Amino acid sequence: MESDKHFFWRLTRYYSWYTVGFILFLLVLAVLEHEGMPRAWIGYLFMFVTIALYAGIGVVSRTSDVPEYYVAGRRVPALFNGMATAADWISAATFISLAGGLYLQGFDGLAYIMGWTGGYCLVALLIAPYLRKFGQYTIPDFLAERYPGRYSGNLVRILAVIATIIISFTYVVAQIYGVGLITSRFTGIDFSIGIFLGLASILVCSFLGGMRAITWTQVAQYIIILFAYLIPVIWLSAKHTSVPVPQVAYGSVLPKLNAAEKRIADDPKEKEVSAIFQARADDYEKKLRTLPRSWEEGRIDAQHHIEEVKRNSHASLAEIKSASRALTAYPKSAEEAERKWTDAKAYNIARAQPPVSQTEPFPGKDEDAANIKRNNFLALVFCLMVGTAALPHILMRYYTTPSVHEARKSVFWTLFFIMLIYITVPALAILVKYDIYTSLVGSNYAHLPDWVYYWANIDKVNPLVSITDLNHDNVVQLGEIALDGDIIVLATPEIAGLPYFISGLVAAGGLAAALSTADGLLLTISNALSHDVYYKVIDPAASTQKRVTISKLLLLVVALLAAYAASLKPGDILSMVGVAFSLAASTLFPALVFGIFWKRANQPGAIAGIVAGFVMCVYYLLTTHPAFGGTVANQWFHIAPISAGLFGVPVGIAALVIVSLLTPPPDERTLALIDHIRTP
Amino acid sequence: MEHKTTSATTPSTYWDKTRRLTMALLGLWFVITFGAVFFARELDRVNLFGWPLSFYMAAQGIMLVYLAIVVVYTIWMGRAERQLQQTGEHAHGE
Repeated sequence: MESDKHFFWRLTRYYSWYTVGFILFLLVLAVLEHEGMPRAWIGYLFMFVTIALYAGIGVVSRTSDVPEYYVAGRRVPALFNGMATAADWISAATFISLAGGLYLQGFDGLAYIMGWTGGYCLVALLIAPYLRKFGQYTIPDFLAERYPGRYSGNLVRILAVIATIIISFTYVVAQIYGVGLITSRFTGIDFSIGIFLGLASILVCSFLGGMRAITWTQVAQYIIILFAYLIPVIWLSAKHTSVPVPQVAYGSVLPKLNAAEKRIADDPKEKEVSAIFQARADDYEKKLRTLPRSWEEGRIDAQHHIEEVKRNSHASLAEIKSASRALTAYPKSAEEAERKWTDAKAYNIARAQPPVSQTEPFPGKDEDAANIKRNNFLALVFCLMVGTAALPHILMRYYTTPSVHEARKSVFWTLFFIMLIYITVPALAILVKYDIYTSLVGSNYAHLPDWVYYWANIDKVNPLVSITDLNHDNVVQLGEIALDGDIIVLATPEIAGLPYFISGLVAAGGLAAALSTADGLLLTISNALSHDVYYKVIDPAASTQKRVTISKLLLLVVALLAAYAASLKPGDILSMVGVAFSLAASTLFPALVFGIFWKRANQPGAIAGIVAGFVMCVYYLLTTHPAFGGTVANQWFHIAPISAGLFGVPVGIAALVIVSLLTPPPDERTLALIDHIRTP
Repeated sequence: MEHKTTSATTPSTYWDKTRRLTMALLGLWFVITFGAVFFARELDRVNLFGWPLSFYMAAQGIMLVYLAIVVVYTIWMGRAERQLQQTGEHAHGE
């Protein structure tokens, strides 16, 4: 076995060469594009080359050895583990949607930035070093050892496995969904084919080499993510501020952006557009009030219209088509009309609002509205932070370092590498916003930039961007632009005027972000099933060979299930990822932290804590989340369902403490275990 | 001799030290997070090189504080760990 230091330098050498190779690959593509290679081919090249690369790393790092498969042999140096964890952490949602969220929500969007970085303070201070000292394989492993019982030591293990699977599965479906979106948007191949292509690379990688292959792939993926995120922003920053350090330079754009916001807010033409949306909303309101009569009248009108158009010999084919489309799209029943029109009313009211200020904290009609926003911001930050410190696929990574001190250092590197991306996110959102507010708004409809046409046609059903001249003045008003948040990152290269191969790079970055997270999650789920359920509960006498084989088979099954779930395109899955944080916080966090810091916590307490936290969190979700048939009226203190953990965590902690105190303290062996993990 | 008395660390004093440091840093973590959000409207009036302070804190500043917390923890714990090992070696040697 080579020394740690030697190993570290060998890795550094490999990844330096890899980075140089990647830059060369970019240069080759730049030349090819210059020589006239079609766009679609550049997209294909990026997809296939990167996917083949990940699969290649998987083949090279294949293993069937238990410690190698589950924890990469526990010799991943802190810096590389940090990089791999950062790639594990930066999901499709972070890469593609975070900047868009900031763009659309202004200050409120910053809750994600704070929550997803501050959580690492909790990981570093409360959990990572102790888990490393404990030194087993999974999170349920730790909870089961810490909370043994008179009747069954595996009760806590099973509960932890259930929590791990629920949390990780929702999360992994969203990642695979992201893979499908990115491949279909950039290469034009079908959504489901995109999913299975991405899946193939995930499988080759984790199937052959488990944690070891995943770790080395994730380091490679992080490097691609970093390039893909930074290059377009640096360019945009150089364009608008002539300083190529966006993280600092965007400050000089802020006052100009504020001025543009004010100018737009006072523009009479903008008010015209806003009045159009308000009138439409009022119209829906009127129709909703006179249901079901208004529905019948509307249907008859639509039929009349189609007959009229057909009778008119001058009508073009397009007119006839649009009239018949209007009739097929018309609500089939009064109930459907009520639902559709309520949505349409809300949509038009939203479009009629003046734009949100980018930097003003908690804008609201009055003090109360602003306070509700502030409280929700705090609640969301709390849930994201505590949830981060309880996500099994992240915590599991701290088993892979050589020592406790390396585990602490590794949390630092994780936060450092995450920060490189996150600190750029506000710069990206603000620079793009400035560009759109100053060069797109006020321009002539005859000269719309190419990227608007390109992205408007990618997804015809839910266009990422749509611009319509509502007040027929031939000038673009801000109110006339409808943007999907995802476009902010995807279209930045084109907005900045960069060549197409940079767009391909951004797509490859998004794909790397989704794949790296999916890799880690799938391994977490299959390990929970194979190690915790099969080996620890069903067949403790299983040979190591059998354990790894079972794990690989389960990985395949879970991956196919997740891909199947993603191919159904569950619309709410993306919002469910936020919910996964609340769920992780409520179920696993109290048992983990009290297990380390409070010797008196015992098995009945842990069971009560996990169950109570879970029940509380799920109850709040069911009663308040519209996707589960809940309503806003059921909210407590106006807290949004995504922050269900705000109630779940205290309930979980209270249950753990009360039940622990009412039942006998843990035995000598457990106390010795706690002393053992507290000493480095 | 003096060196030995200041750095004598047993597992239980090590744990006390860890707990104190953890509490202090968690306190800082909480105050800075809660303060920056709760008083965001008040901080908005303060200007920092062109950034409204509340926006800067939430967007970037607080992240740097978090990183600093982790750095301080890692360095101090690394030092405490070395002291504990030294004491252990002394005890074995005598």
